Amino acid sequence: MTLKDSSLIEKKENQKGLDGLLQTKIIETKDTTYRIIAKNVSEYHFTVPFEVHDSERVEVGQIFSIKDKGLTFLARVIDIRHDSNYDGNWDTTFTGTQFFDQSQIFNRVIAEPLGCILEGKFKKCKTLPTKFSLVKRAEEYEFSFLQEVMGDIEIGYLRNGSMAVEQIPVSIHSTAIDHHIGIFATTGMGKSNFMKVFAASCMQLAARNESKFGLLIVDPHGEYLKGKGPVKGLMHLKRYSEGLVCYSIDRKNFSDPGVAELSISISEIEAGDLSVLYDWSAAQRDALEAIARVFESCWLERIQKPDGINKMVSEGFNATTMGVISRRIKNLLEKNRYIDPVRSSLPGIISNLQDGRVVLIDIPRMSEQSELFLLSILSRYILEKYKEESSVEQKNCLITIEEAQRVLGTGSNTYRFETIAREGRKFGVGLCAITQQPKLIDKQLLSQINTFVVMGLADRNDRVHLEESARHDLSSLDIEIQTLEKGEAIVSTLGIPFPVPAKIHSYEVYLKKLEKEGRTDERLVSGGRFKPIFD
Amino acid sequence: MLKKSRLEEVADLLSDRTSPKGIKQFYENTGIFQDDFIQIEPMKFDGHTYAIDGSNVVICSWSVASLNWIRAGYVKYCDRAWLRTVITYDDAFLAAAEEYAEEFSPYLVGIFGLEVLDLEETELERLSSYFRELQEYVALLDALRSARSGDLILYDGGFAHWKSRLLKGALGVILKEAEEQNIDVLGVSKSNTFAWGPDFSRPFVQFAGLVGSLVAPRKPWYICLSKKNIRPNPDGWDGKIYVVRFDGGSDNAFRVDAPSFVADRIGYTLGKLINCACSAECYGYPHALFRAHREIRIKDQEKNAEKLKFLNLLSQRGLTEFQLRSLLLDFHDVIEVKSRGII
Ligand SMILES: Nc1ncnc2c1ncn2[C@@H]1O[C@H](COP(=O)(O)OP(=O)(O)OP(=O)(O)O)[C@@H](O)[C@H]1O
Ligand SMILES: [Mg+2]
Repeated sequence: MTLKDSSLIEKKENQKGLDGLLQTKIIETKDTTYRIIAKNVSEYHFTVPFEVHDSERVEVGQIFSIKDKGLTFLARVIDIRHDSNYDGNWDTTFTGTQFFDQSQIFNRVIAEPLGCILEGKFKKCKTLPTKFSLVKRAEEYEFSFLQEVMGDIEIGYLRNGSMAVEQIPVSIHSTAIDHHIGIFATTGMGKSNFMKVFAASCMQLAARNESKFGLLIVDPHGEYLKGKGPVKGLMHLKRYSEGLVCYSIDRKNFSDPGVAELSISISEIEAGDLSVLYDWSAAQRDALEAIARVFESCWLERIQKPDGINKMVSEGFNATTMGVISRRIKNLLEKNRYIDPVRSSLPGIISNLQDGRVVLIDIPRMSEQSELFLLSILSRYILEKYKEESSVEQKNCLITIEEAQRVLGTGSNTYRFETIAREGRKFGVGLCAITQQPKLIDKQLLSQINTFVVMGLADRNDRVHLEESARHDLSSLDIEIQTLEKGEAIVSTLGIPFPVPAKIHSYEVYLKKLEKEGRTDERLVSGGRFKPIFD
Repeated sequence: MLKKSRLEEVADLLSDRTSPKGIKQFYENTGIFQDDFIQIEPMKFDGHTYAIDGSNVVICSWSVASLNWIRAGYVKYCDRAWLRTVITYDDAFLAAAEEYAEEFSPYLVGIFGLEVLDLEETELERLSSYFRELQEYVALLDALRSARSGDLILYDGGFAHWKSRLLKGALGVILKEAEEQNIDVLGVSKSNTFAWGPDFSRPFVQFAGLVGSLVAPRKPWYICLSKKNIRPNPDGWDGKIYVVRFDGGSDNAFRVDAPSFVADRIGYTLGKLINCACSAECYGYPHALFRAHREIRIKDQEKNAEKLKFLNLLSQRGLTEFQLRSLLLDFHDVIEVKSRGII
């Protein structure tokens, strides 16, 4: 940099030195920080003072804006480093005097461009800000363009570093859900909370008849229905209870008017549904596949009886094999009391989903195998119905799978879910895969998921696995993902031009907000007796 | 190959300087004794410190003349806080026998009120060095004019025997004004040629530094070289030369020249300086001089950019690359089979 050309340093040029005889340049401004100094279209560097007040500290994830003539560039901090104007190890030879030139030492902030705003419109950056452009913390109004690209299912607020920007809610598009959703977080980082917030927003839409899809949640932990202690459940959202339908296997809940008893009719179970239950041998598998062919109806009842076994044996299947199958099936019916000779909740579940409601299936204390079995029946049934009725006026459907690595993992033998991941979109069926170990999810399936809600992930392999299959490039956000705290997320989804940092609502707080929102005004106006003076 | 015996001989001579025998010899030969190391006491100083420096690079040279880029100026500090940097000259200088008078006159005549310069044939080679020196003095004078009584001005270089120098006139003006306004002026040199020893020239300042570490460990100190037996003679001018250790924790000592009016209060003047000669960046050296050096120095990048600009101008005027090469070629580079960079 020649001193002559520098715009970095404010200068008083043409000062007359020595009684007006000299053309001197005086360099006085110390503040050369908060200016773009490097580097290219995909990475900006700027400097900040090396020592600042706590409130002015720069954090990974914060968003800065760079006004440069007609353009406003927005960039998110991805790393911060110590730096100085000196080469060499001047700082390691520091001899304890605490004396150094403050203006020569600074922190270098590395930021990734989000995009730029031109005449109020947001677009990707194809250029970079002029060197030495001023950098400022982005202000709320500069995010307002984001409101235009946001969807209809509110999940939280925009997050700037660790501060929530309450003016800008973050919402996912309903149209993105049949492209599948993935929720990834280490245990305790807020997956369940996220799901409740998501479901609450869906309930709100459904109650207003604005929802575009039905949401199925199978809850093996019994935490979504009524919560536990201070942790609230979906039933606490009374205002939009019309948007929610609950089925439970827990007697305690049956007395509740909003909860129906779950039942699956025995005739609705297919041999293929059993495949998730046990590690079947090849011979057993063959036999299972043949059952439906051999018995035209009531196979489940008949295979439990000696004549049923005999019939299979006469078809050439091994008696021991059939014995094992028969025993296992007895066992299954024993354990899954919701399997009923006649009654079935399935038609109701389907029609509620088709109407766009949230359907919660509460199965506390059910074994993992039984849970998968149920989920497997439900998914098959849903996919079949949606295939059959794809021409009918029906809303899309999103199936939630907890611990999704169990069924979407590499080498897992649950083709049913993989089929939905690959083909569901054609029929309007999407998956919402929740997992704490994304690294176990098959890469190809992961790449079918177009909405990522990434919360804190401690394991490097998990992050790398996600980064490699995400729709948006998340690799530069690695440091941020590592440092995400409970409830903080990065949301990469269709329709929003960059991965959005979000602070997911706390369900309990969101609940209060939903219950209150717009209420007072309505009451005041409808009451008719009292009119607000300011209108 | 060098003869081993000769190498051993010199190695012996140099190594004995750290032995007790060497120190005794140092005392005897130089006439400097333990008492001559005077400890510097820090002084409370709320005035300003100025540090002057200059820089000179060749943009293009063609055996009989050259185009140089010269920059001079100073930095201003209050205690440890930088206040400003002032660049007093930042321009091209044409070092040619026919042109120099025109370049020097505005400053010599206009600013210092002196005669036009008339150089000897032998002095022409150093034209650009003289001009840089002149510009440093201009910067010094500018600093002086903005300084207040009691302030301290540091110059990167020496003042000794200034009356026999080419630019004595300019220095005369500066030192007179500094004395009248009660402003301290010190010349601090990063290198010097002082030597001691009867049979063999040992480096003096470095040796004095070692001895100082023994007699005044972890203390800042100075010794006055007047009437001491070292070469070249430090006396014979209107001022004094010192060797100073600015910070007790540092291994380095520096030569410091003070005009007589500063020499009279040298302990006090050095006392103002030592609080600011211990920065992390350049421990043991006055920090203002460090900053001046970095801020005023013309960097290689800058030089190369200007060089390209200049070559461009030449080629716009019709010079071919061949002509440029034959005009500007330094034949040393050819003999050394060196890459010739831009030209
Ligand atoms: N967005 C949020 N705001 C405030 N608190 C939150 C948020 N998300 C989660 N929490 C709190 O963190 C705790 C754990 O959250 P949650 O149960 O949702 O985690 P999880 O990822 O589902 O854990 P697990 O892996 O055990 O299922 C809860 O007590 C919840 O109150
Ligand atoms: Mg959970």
